Amino acid sequence: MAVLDPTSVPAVRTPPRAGRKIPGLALIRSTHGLQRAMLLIGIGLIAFFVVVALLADVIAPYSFNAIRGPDGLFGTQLPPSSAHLLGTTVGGMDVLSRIIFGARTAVLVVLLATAMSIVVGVPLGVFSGYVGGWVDRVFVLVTDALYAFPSLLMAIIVSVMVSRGQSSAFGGIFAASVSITVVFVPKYFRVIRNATMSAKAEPYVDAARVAGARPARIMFGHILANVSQSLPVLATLNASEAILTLAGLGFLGFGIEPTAAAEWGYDLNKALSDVTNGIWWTGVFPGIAIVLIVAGVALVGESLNDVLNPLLRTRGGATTADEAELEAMVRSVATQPTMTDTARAHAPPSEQSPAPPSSDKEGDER
Amino acid sequence: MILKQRRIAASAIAALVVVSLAACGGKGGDGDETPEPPSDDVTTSEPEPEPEPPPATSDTVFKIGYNGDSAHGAWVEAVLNQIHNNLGIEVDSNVYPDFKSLRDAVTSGQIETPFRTGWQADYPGLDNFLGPLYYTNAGSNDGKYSSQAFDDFVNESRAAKSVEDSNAALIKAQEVLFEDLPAVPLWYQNTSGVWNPDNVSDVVFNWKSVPVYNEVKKDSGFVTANAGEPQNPLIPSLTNEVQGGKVLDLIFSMLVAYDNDGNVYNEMADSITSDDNITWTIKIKDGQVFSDGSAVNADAFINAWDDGALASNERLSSYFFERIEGFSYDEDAHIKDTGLAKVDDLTFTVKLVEEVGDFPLQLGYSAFAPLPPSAFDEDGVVTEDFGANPIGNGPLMLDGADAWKHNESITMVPSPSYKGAQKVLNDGVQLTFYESLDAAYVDVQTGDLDIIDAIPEVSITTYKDEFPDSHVNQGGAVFQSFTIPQYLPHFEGDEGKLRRAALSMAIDRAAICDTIFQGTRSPAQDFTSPVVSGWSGNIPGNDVLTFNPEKARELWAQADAINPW
Amino acid sequence: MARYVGQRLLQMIPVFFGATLLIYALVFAMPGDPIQAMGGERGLPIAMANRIRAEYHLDQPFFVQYWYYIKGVFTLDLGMSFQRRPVFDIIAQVYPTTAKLAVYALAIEGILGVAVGLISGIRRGGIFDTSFLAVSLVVISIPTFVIGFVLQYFIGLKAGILPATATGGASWRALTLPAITLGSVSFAYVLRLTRTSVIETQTADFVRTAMAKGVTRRKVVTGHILRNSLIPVVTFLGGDLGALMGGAIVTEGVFHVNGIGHTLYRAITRGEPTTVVSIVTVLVIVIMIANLLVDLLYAALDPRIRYAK
Repeated sequence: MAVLDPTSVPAVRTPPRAGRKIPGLALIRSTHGLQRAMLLIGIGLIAFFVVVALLADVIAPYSFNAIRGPDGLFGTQLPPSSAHLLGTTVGGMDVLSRIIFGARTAVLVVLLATAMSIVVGVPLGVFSGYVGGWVDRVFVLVTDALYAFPSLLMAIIVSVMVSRGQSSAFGGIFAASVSITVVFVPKYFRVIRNATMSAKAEPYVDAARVAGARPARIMFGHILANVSQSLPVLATLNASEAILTLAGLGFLGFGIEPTAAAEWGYDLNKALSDVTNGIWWTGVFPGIAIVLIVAGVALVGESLNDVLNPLLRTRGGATTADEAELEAMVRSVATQPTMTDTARAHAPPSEQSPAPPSSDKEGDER
Repeated sequence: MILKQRRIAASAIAALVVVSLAACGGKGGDGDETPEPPSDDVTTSEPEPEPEPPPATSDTVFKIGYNGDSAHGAWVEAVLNQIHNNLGIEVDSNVYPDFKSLRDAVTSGQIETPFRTGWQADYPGLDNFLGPLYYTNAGSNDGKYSSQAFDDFVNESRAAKSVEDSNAALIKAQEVLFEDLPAVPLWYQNTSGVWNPDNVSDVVFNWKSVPVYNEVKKDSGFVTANAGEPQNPLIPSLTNEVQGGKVLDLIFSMLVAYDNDGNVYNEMADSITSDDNITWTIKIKDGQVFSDGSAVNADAFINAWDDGALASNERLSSYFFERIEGFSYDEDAHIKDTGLAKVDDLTFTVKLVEEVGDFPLQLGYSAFAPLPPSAFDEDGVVTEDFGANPIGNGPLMLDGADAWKHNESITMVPSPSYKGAQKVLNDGVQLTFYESLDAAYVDVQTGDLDIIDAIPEVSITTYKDEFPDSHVNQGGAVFQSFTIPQYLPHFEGDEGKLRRAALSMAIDRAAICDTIFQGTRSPAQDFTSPVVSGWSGNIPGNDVLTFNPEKARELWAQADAINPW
Repeated sequence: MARYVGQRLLQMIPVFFGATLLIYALVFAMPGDPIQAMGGERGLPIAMANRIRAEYHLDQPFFVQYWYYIKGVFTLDLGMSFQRRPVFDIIAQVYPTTAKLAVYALAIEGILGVAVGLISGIRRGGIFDTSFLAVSLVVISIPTFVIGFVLQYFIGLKAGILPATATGGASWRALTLPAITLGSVSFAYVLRLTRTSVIETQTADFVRTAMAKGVTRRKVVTGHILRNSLIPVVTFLGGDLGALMGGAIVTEGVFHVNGIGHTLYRAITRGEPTTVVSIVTVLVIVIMIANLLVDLLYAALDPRIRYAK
């Protein structure tokens, strides 16, 4: 129970409200005005796409790779009509259905990739941070090497390797997810490891060790709970990049076969040459879909990040009760130096843990 | 404790979401590729509805393999559609992610479905379409077809003393093919292209579907046209693809050349004669030179061909020399010591291992180009440096040592030392390497490019309107079909012959050529190409290429009687 | 400081080996036989295919191939592409183009981003600020290839103001649209970073002191606020340059820029181990050096940072 002491120092501060049951609800409460609006819009967009993804079979008028119906072939590059609300593609498939099923692909791939990244990166980070020594050095070296790669390039190579020339539905989705995972594991690893190293120095860890708890229990029972506070923010920030990487893969032709699943990036690639001939519907709609879902995720991520980075808070002026309490907590905690702070002061910016999204850009899907 | 429960709950919910999405994704992902038999006509060109096709009675699926990274998907789907509608069988496409993997599956013999095949002729001769593809154990006989009757006719044609006899034998050979249908012919790919009429005029396309660059007229400046980066150094026997070939055909002149109708004439050669179609005596025209002044003589040919044939040189087009005596793929063999013999400065003989009636016809291919002494190192091997900046004997030559800007362009100027029959009517040619036809097409529209030698898919419907007086759409030397390997179940023996014929008759080629290809393809009437002299559209047995759904069903039913599908 | 630099350089060595090994392994594991593809639709005679395979050591076990490659690297022989061009020449030909593009993009994103960010930060909450925040969010959300394509179509093709592709060579004019595309996403980040930094600096003590002393507002902004808030921005730009030099595969593809990203993409699709590994290794080293320089720059600019170890 003591591990939930709010004055123990997580990598990121959270307000000690009852909303703890649903992680993040208190964060939402602590926003106001434009920030809250942005956050809610973002959540709304994400929820919209998740719902569309779940109900794709029901909502979509046709299957994503259907080129013929009861009346025969659909026909290629038809403008929006009552039969095809958003028109048909150059391959003769219905645009609307492909958008809807594309949402499923995007959600599925991002969830899979994020889940796999967390499952691999977080325990590795905790383990490496806790154990330290040469094990830690090796892991840091390996992940630094991975970190230095242009991420889209890595994703391409891994996707080719994993898919091995197959074109099954699951194969394609799996290949895309794995390639994105390989790119993102270092990021999670790095954040969690840094946070673990800061948490390692805390009294409660010593107490647990003295009390005879096994290292595994310390790592995964105590430390993990505290360092994972920053995961939601990191996950949302990385999710937007994941979607863009997936679209980039599809655009370059390394993603998922059109017969296996619908993917927006692939459709955009095929639509590029259409525009010069006045056929706008094959490209505009997938493009809008990508923009909306990434914007939604980015809005949520940015708002959370703004909230949690106290330096961005408005100084002076009216604040809500939530904010006041948040500030009080921050001020009380700020007097205790943490590994994160000292690390930030002494470590070069390229090794800092998450934050301004700037440190994560690695020339990926440009 | 609370934390643990919370975490477990959260991960359970996440897992549930993921699993449910995956399950839906799996089901939704099963292509609705095999549709129910429609009750109406589906081929868009025929307005009247067809009778309802027989209901699918079996689960065996007929597939055609192709590479997904190309534009072939549309027509493969259309062909499969027609087969399904007219024969009532389940169909599906067998998509390979890229060309490489398709070729791997084919050459290793592991492919288990029919697959698309395209063939571009090296020289305008009938044998070039037939021998390499259908002769027993031939290099490109992907379907492992073997027929003694066919082989006999081909041998007969190679031994024939006259071109007419040779072609007649090959017509008979095709009769055999029409019975056995190792591949189902589909259509010929037309030559198509446009040019900017404000910039250039007198644009003519040759039998290879390539503009005759040297005869294009332009007021001033280089004639610009699209091309791609040559995939190898510009050594004639090392080049086996079209883009490198474009350059080689301009800077080198071979013993013979082809006019725009595909007829052969002597270019560097004075005469090429033989009594038995095995030993050929080649006399070279006097006075021909390379652009560096060295003479085009017997040594120039002998040394070049020797380098091209030597196994350790790994020349990709060495197969052109494989019938010269002494040639070997497995170990180094100098054909200049065996099959080639110099008689005097301007005469040499070539001894082949068997009769090859159309040998003179082949000599126009760039692999047979002569090379100047500066091309070779002290061991007689053509250097890669030469390939980066080749010196040839053709109507054009490279514009300086850095004329070839990799992945950008290559520039050529008229060669003052050329004494052959071809004319150069402009100041030079610049081939710009485009990665996409769309960009090149746009550049022709804006005038930044003079000529494009193919029409991008999206412009197929509009190019005639955009370039009313400066486009071309004529017969070409590319043949498309799909091959049904001999070892596939249901396609062997008599049952196989019936099924192949049925499939062929179930395809409405004209409809596909009109609707999907907008007329840039012509339905096939044989196994070769109309630009080849000796082509015939009336070969007995070619009625299997006529669209006849009733007969198709009949034949299929007969095949089912032997062995149900 | 010197020891720190030395340590970082030493750290690069295992990263170099690890990276090359990793990428070599990945390309090695890629399916398909690139040698047969050389023969086009005809394929190659078996004997010749075997010879070529032996020449490129493709018939050897993985570690032997890797060993040949590493041996070559130390003599700057980065292997041969399947088109029989030395990889070193290939890289030497295309890297200047990518470098040009990277610098151009950096200039655009840096100058514009800082300018807009500065104004946004000073007039926080105003119309300018909110609208540019919204713009930057949208820009982040749009995939680069869409931005590139939209620019190409509207400005390059329809309006014809700037070249739509860089096919005719990579002149500054032809590289304008790609540079804008490349820089667009980073422009958004630079904008936000500057804005955040300016907001923080505005409330700093020394600013209030300067204003109290009567320094003109403009001098305060340019002299004090801007200079101090630029530190994180400059370090970000430095890191971004490294990333940009990493070759923008997608942008180069859309605009047909003959740069390192596009060359790499072609090599991957052809399955050429040596070319891919060489290019990637060069990229990785460039990025690592760029990161090192950025970290040193950060220390040089901000006297509070010192690398004690």
